[in-house]
Amino acid sequence: MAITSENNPSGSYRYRSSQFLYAMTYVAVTLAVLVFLNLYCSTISKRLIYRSKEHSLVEKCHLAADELGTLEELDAFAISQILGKMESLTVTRLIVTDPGCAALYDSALTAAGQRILLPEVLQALEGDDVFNGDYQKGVVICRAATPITHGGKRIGCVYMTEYDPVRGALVRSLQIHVFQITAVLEVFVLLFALIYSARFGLRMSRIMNSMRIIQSGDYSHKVVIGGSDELAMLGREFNDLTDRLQLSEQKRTQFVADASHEIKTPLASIKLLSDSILQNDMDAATMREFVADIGAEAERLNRMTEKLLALTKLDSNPSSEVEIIHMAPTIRRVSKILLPTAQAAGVTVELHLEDPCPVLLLEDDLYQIVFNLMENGMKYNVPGGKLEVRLFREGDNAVLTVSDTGTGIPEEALPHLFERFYRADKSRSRATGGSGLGLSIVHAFVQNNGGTIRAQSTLGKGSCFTVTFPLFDTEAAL
Amino acid sequence: MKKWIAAGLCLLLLCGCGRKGKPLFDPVYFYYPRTEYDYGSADSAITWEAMDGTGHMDDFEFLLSEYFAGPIDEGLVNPFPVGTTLLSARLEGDDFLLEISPEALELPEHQFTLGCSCLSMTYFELTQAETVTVSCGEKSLTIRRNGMLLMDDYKPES
Repeated sequence: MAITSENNPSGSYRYRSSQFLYAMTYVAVTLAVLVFLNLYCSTISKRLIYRSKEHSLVEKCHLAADELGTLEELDAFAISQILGKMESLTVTRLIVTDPGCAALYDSALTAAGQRILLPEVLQALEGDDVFNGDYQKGVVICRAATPITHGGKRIGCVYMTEYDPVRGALVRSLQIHVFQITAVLEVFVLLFALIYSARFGLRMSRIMNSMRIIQSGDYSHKVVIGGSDELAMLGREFNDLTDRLQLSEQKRTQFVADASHEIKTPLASIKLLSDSILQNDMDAATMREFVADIGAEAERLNRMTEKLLALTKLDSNPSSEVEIIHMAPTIRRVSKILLPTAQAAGVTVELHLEDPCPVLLLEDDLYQIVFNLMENGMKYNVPGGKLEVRLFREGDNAVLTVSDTGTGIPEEALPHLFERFYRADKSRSRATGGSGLGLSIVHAFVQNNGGTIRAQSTLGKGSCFTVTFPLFDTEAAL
Repeated sequence: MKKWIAAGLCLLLLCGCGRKGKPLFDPVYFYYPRTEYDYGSADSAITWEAMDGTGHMDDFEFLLSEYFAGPIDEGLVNPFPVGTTLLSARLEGDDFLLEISPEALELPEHQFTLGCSCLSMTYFELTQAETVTVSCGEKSLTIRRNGMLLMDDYKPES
């Protein structure tokens, strides 16, 4: 139920909103950068204009102050006469004050007789040259002031204002253009972010939909994500995963079907035999024979169940325990146990064992591996045949080969030999009491212990199973 | 939870921004020059700070003694030297005559003008006088109500 709730529309909505949030964050960041660039351009352009104006305006102030400084005492008439001669002083407004800030001359004629308490004038009367630049409503306004001195004594100050609508228009035009470029760029960024976000969301929703389809049981479904980015990689990984899931599901279904079939056969035999006993009058000898058959089928069921349990145990909880063992004594022990079986099958057993071959392996596992391989070699041999077991060292490995002179295995059966319930020759296998699990168990034990197994066979000549385990280096361990 | 924390922080921020001082019932505006002379063009050289004049609105001597004590705002400065006091204050017609102690004589002319202008503006707020004449020793300066140019907002016609 929890899985279903995670894939409901609200979950999908949460996902969409988060990718939209990322897109909007991207838009916000670019907007912040563009606004900063706007302000920076505007400020820098204004500063450049102020700097270009500063030199000329302060120079004009100095020129006027030098001419006025020739007067011993400033008076309105003398100032008017001197400034009237200075045609180069083309400024918007010019004010001359005495040391007490009283306006002696104002070109705008509005401040005559007033106290001029402008910051520039006050600062100039402290003895400094002053310049201020300002930009207001498309006009650059620059103000400058400088003290007037006569004989080292400060006798007043010159204050000038210059309105420059031409450069103001230039700043305004620059601001408008930069703003327009910013707006167009931001629109592009917004469109890109929305398209990218929608595309990303679409591709992600394809994966989510595929997950839901897989969840509903359709393991053959594949997600189609184009491109070569992370999402495409995710799609490929997802498809690989579903492939493995599908294969696993197929194996599981096959296993259940095979196991049911294998169990069903002896159960049917038992049912048939017991029905025969119940329905027919038979003599004691026949009944004993039937009961013996029932016992044999039950024994077969028992063996199969034990092997299935062993396989399940290996699948679910592979043992991590190991021990250092020498392989030869275990092989000899198995050979001794199976001697009656070999004699019954008329098979000669030959052992060629190189000793010592120390390996890191559970002895019980090795016992089971050798037992199953040798038992198979006897069961599927021909009367008078031979079973040869060899153990030798090859490089860093211990190699065990079990070869028989039996009927052999068809080539097309070799790749499936270690699959559960697989039988190369079904009729013969059942006749010999085989469950189709022996080689699967061998394969699982070998893999669990870090070894490898391979089978070679020639029809009519026999088969050879080669098991390899890494040798345990006792000297290095010491 | 995060939304609630953000909302709380915003509320605290708003409370901090909106914090106001004690409301003044009878505000008196004292004019002082700004501390920094490197003003922006939008700022004038003189600005005011409000004081509570409750119970002293007609007591010019008290208000002037408060004025000469200097501003509270660190961005403003007392235009007169420490120790400057009001010696007399009287109204003659539309002219308010103020006599201050001679400590102010040591000021340069433009700073004396600046100080007298600040004092006059403070008086123009308190009274209906049209001119204020400040005397200090032999120096005397008359300031008219509209006789100060604090901001240059002149614009050419074309």
